[in-house]
Amino acid sequence: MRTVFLLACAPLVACTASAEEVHPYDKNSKHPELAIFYPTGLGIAPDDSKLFLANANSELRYDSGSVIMLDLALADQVAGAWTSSKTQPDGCNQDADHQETLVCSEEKFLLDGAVRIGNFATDIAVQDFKTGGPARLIVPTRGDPSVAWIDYDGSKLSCNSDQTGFALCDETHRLSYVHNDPNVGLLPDEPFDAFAGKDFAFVTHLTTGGITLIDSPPGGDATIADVVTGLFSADPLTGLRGTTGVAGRGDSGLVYIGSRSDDRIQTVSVGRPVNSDIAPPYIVPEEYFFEDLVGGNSGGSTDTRGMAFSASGDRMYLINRRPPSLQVYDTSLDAGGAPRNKGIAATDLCRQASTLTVMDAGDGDRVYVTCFQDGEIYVVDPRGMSSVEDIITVGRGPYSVVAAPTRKKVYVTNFLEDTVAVIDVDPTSPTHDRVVLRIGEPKAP
Amino acid sequence: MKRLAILAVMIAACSDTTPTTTDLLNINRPIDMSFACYGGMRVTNGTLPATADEPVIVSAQPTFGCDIRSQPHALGTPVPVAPGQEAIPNAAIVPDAQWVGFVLQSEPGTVAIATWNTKPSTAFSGGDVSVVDANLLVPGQNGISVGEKPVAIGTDTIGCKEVIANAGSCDMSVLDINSAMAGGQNAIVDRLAVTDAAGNKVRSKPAAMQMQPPAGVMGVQCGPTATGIAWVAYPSCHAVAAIDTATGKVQRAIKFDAAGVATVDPTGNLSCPDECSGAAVMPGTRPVALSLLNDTRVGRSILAIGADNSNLVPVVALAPASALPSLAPRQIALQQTAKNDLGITSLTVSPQIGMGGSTGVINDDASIGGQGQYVYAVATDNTVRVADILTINKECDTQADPRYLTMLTDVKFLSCMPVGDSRTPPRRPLARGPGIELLGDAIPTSVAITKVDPVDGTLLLPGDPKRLIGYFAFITAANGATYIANVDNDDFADVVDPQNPIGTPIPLDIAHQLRDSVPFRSLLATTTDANQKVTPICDTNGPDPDATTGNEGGPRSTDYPGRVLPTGTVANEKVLALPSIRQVKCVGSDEPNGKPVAETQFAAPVDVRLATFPDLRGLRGDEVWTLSWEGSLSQDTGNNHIDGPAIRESQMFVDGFGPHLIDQGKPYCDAGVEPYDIVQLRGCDPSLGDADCALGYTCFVHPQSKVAGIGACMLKQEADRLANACKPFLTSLRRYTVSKSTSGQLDLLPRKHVLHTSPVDGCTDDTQCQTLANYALQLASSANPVDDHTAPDSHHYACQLDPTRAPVAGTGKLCIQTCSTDTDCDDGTVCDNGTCMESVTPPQACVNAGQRYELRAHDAFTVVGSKSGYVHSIIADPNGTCVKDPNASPFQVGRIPLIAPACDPTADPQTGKLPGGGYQPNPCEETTDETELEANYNNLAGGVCTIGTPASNLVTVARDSILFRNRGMQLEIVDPTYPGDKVCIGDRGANLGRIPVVTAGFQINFRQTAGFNPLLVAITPSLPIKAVTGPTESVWVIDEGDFLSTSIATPSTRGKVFRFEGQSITTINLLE
Repeated sequence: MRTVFLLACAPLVACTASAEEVHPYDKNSKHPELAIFYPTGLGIAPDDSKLFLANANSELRYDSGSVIMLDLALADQVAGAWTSSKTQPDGCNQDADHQETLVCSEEKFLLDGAVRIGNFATDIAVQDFKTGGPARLIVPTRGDPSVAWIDYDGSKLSCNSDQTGFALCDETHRLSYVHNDPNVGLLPDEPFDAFAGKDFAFVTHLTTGGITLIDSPPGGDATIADVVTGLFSADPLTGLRGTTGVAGRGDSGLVYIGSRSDDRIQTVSVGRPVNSDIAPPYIVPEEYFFEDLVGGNSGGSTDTRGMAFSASGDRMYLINRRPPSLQVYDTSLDAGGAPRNKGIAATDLCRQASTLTVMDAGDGDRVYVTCFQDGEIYVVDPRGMSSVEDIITVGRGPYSVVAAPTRKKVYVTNFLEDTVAVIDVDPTSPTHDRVVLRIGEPKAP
Repeated sequence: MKRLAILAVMIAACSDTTPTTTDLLNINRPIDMSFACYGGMRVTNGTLPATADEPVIVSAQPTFGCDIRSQPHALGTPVPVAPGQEAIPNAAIVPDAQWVGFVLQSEPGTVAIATWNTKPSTAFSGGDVSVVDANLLVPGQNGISVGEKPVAIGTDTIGCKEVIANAGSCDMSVLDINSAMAGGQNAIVDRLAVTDAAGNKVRSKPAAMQMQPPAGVMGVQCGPTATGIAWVAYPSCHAVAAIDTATGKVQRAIKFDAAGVATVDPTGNLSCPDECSGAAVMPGTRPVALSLLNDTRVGRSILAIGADNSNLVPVVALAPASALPSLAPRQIALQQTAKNDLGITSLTVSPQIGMGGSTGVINDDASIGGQGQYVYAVATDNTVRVADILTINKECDTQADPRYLTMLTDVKFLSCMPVGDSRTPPRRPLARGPGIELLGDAIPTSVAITKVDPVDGTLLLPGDPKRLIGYFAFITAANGATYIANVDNDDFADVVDPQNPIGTPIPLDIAHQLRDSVPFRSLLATTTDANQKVTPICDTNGPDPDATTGNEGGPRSTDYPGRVLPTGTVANEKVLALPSIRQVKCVGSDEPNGKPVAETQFAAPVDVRLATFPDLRGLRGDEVWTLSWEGSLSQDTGNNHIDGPAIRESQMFVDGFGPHLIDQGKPYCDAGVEPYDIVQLRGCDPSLGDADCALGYTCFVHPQSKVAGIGACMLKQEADRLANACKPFLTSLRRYTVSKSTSGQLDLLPRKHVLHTSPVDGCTDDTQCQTLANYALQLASSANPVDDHTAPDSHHYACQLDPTRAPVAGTGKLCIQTCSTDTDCDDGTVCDNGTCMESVTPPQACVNAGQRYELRAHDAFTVVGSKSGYVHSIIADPNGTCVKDPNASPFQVGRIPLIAPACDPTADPQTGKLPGGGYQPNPCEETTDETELEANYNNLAGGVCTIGTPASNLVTVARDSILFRNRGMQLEIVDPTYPGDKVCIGDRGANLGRIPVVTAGFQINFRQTAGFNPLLVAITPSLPIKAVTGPTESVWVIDEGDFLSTSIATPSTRGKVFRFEGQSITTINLLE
């Protein structure tokens, strides 16, 4: 089915690639209504100042997807004025169905410096270079398939050597081949989720079970360094092998990867040859463990989705769809420094839960889980046996969720209505766990 | 529309393919349940006797009304009813009453209603309970909306209202049962704001609630308000409040101070953050679990409180009539975890129980173990902690090693061995703590304790695991299993029966142990003849462990332990020179002259079986044990996760100190690596092309390598250039010695090639080494020594010290292969400075790719269970160096060497404990009796090896052996070394010394069966979160999880509720 679809997509892309009139939004081109179109991935600038948003262009209305930036300080300001005094700036209106929510056009929050990427972006991983601002975005796109890498200098995004505004990422920034050499290997199909470490990134692949390592040194070009397949078993019913969630445990160098076809969590690290200018880094498979704590009678925990760590790295939270559950793992280090990787708690979730983020906004970690089908965010208190603390209606098709700890806000892309929901998660706020701002006018179904 | 249509195609095409089927939504995310009685009632207002003119109504009524109606009664006799409800001549007939279950559903904030007839538990057969549509005007099976994010439900004292605690709105709801049962569309649900004594609203989010136990007077019509006290836990308020459900006013509060100590505030004042308005929450003890039990037998009412961030369990005695505290709380301190992070997520209080008794009757008033009452608390260390709250008021240790308990007969002590008490023995190895552990990674979620009375005429025989008589805990686990623990099993021995020790092992006798599912533990290797005479037999391996009817009997090996010999090392005729598991003599009607059987076998004498398997609970139900010479420390092959990947991959770095393996996962201490262990690099498999290597690297095989099937991953463009520089590395076996192990790094030494028959006491000179080299070759010959013409070994061996190997006893020297060139060395070894080496220090460029390798033990058998894995006591010290844990159990051992410190004859034969304290070494070396068939050479003295008649004789002889104990077994490995044969095979006359015959790849293995196999209730919840004790000794399991069906015949569900009978755990009712 996917192959047929991609074949159908290819001529569409080919036919429209050079048509200026079908470029997605450029702020200078005065087409604000196009700014958010099938939003998927989200990322937060290291200083919580900007929200990076990937437009998937899933309807293929335009010739490419894009990554745009939204001003979070302004979003805070607008949301704060709204919650404190019901102030409605121009271009904003009270949500008719949710009176605690202000709906604003995205144009108000858009920042210059967006870039265009391939279609069907799935995620944004932010590589924080920790040098005071610069960062790099790793954006898997399913349409090509490829992985775009986009540098962020603190104010704008760039992925094209000619530095023109709103440019399509050039071939250097669009990774499709291992070592940039088609003779070495291709990026596997269906890049799905991404995690970025200090000098590398990992990308999972939904239908092949592959894991791609991207070597991404600060200041240097990113390249696909290695691809490993076969670490996960195939689904006995469909025969598919899929890798899904990926998350890194702090600065330990260990990256955890889940699968949609196997109840295994595989850890990997990056091997870097020494005394060699030409030997590329590679994936080192480390220990693995199984999600045995839930699902003995229902699904066997064989469909892992999003994964995320607490800030300390001592807890890993993981979504599994079979059965729908949020599973909590003790990943604290034992005396020798090895993570314990023991399941300690689980709670029921919505069906089709996809992604999650973790944040401590003042009263301990909370896990925010997107429920695509239900248009909700489940808020899970992971203490004790863990429990669903709140269920927040956010809009149609919540896809990605990220948190800005300094702003005590959580942001959600609503894939089916082209909006971003801004949730106030400050536990001391009267609008705690409510969507206080919706960026973008919800598109009609 | 177009947009959605396109999207639908795209989503189907490019995204999720999870199959879904139609939902049945009778039950939707259930989280709690309560019980009520509803039906006909004569309005007597409590006045007896009843009169014919008193009206009869259909109404909610005290639950004891249904309790009485559910009592067994003789066929043809009236259903028993509460006083005043009897049939009265010329009076209106009192209609039947039925049980009503209210299932609280969290996500929709509703209550579903289930009903079933009043009848004894034994009358249930499945299909007895059905869900009632609470709103006939709306399609489907509907519940009643009660509140926002409700967390708990309970029936008020007189059975007229359901009281619900709402976390979403920080208040309570009161559901009128009569209106709910009369058609839910008109159900009356009142909101009840909680206020403290000063009238201030309490707006904290509740986490748990317990209602005052049922009371009330039969025959009284329901009033407008609820009745009784609701105890509600407010974690963010760090308090538990007693709330009058008629007014919502707090009557008392139990408050936790900063240290987690609870006190009763009699004023009813409560200052809580207004969580539902976003008030800040302060840190503190978070009570999240409550259990309230009123034991009418003894008139004692108890409230226990669990907090998810405290190890203290306050236990509060309540006045039974008011359900308010009558005494200050007692704090039971549960043993902390090493991380000091113990908390409680669920708990239950048992009735007061007369402990002990084995006659199949419940004997609470006259028991040999005295009275006991317990809290079972689900703890965050994934165990169920048990504490006595009646007399000892301390936590009980449920993990005491049975080896120390077999002689104890004090039932009272065995019913609660206090943690930390001097009489309480050490725990079994690898116990997480004092609590009850489920199996594997199962996480307990809830526990309920139920009294189960004997059933008249039951077909279940004594000893059948499904026959429950006494008090039992039902423990749900997140993986969907429901375990049963014996709290007081009144149908089984309380202590080890000296007449039947194998049938009465400690884990089946004492309190607070998971219940076993394997019947007939006392089976012996016997046969019964036509005259019913029982005689022992030897030619049996016991019951078929794979029988469709299930396994039976005690732990045993399923056969004689097997041996795996590496090809070309030891001839089959000479396997007697190899170590083996001790054999003992069995004499039976089928073997009147006796035969040797392994000590692990079913036919071994009872005392041997008891000694071999001293802790039933310490054994997995069924697993294969493998003793591998210099075996791998990790066995995971991809489909299991026990002790780490058999083949690991890490980076190798080479510096002036030699090669090092560095792994960011820091796995080495957890793997149990010790100094002198072996790292066997595995390179890559050239038959797979470059598949074992990273992209851009190739699996390079040096053209002169004689090591079959092993290449090395090298950068494609560098491989040919480096071939020469890397030749010694690429052509060697790449077997290294670990000189130092830290959690993340192994320092390696190139390993010298040592003769495997080097004496364990050290060699004396080169000549001896050459003799032993020849002996090593002769072992592969099937000829008797006198006829053996094996060519001498052409290699040269020198008796030398070897700092790359573990220190050797005696002379300290080993026979090391020496050389002038590579051709002087065995294949796979290279000549380096006159010594044949199994590995070399490579240039860094040779090992820049990831290195695949095995970790192997040195100079010892690894003892590995297919489910237990390799057990060891290695931990990281503060510097990260891998060391033996000084606090580990002496049985936490996984290696058997060929020589060991001597066993101490004064040590306890079961535990190895020494009279003066401490333990004898484990393993230790001793001389033991071994029964074997000895070849009957009829002219050995004449140097002739002809076999006489009979061909062999059964002998019992003293042999050198290594005594080994682990968590669940004790083994004697006889003949760890062999002196060599002089004339004929097996004559032991060569006097070569203590010579190891074992080589890498030699294994002893056996399948151990009938270890502990827990009894599970045959229900299949997805994610059970609560077990609730219901009427008539029933147990209800609330399953919050979704079941996503992949079959068109089975519906997907959003939660289920299971009911099973304590008296018949196979009788299941299901609501979904």
